[in-house]
Amino acid sequence: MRYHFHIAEDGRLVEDDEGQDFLDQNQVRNEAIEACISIAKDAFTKGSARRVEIDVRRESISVLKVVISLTIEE
Amino acid sequence: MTRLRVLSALDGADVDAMQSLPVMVRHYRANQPIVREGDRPRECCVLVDGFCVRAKTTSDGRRQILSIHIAGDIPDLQSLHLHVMDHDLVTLTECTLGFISHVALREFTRRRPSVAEALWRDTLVDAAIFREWIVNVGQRSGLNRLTHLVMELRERLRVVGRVGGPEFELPLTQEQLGEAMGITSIHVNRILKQLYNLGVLKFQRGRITILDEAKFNEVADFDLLYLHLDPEL
Repeated sequence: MRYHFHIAEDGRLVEDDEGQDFLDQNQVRNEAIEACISIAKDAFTKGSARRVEIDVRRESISVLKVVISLTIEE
Repeated sequence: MTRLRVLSALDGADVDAMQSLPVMVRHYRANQPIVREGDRPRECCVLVDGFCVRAKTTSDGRRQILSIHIAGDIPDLQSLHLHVMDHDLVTLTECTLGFISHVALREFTRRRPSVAEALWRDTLVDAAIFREWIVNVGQRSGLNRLTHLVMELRERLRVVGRVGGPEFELPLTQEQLGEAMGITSIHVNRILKQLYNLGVLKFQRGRITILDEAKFNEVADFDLLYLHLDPEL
């Protein structure tokens, strides 16, 4: 099964035209979580975004969405 | 040979003598193990052509690429003294490798101390590169990590005459680039798009094109020193 991982950082979209093959949805979930964490780490520490979203699609249908957002209370 | 000669200032007689060592040439297809963790190799190999990687895989199947090797490298020199492999050596592309038996190499280095020194220096440079990779994986952002890696490969490929102009070969998939940097291929894809949009570089079908040298230098945060390319320094 081919999955596409579209990324949005504060609404700025990075489309995944190539996609990747995965055997089961658990792997897809883990991959999406891990990618979201590392992209969020870079974006949050650089200050380029406060919300990172990965929308995983199979044949254009959304199967999973991972969202990480940053809140700072001072 | 060019690489050892450039990087360690061997003299002509040493080079001639090295060329007389018995070498067994073997060809490998892409993505094939050359030696695996736990193996007890009886020979060392010189990469004549192609690309290979050293890698370790965790018990839950996650692979970390430890180093990328290019023509002229001797990627398993350590097996001469550390007899059991503690990592894998795997081809990325089709590779031509020259194998020299440990017995012959050991005997040779005893006869020619300057060659032993050159090989020692080679493993020290190897370690310097590993140190830089720890910094890369531990401290740099994804964007800096990738550009740093690309810059390292370009400078090493330049030594063996494999860089002409703004383009050069970097035959890794996005997944393999991710394995070398400790990030997912999804993140690699995002970084590559960003680097293209910023006008820094383009990565397509295993080839890098530098679009703007000044921007590339700025993002890569690169200091050539750790490659120790000049033995006279």
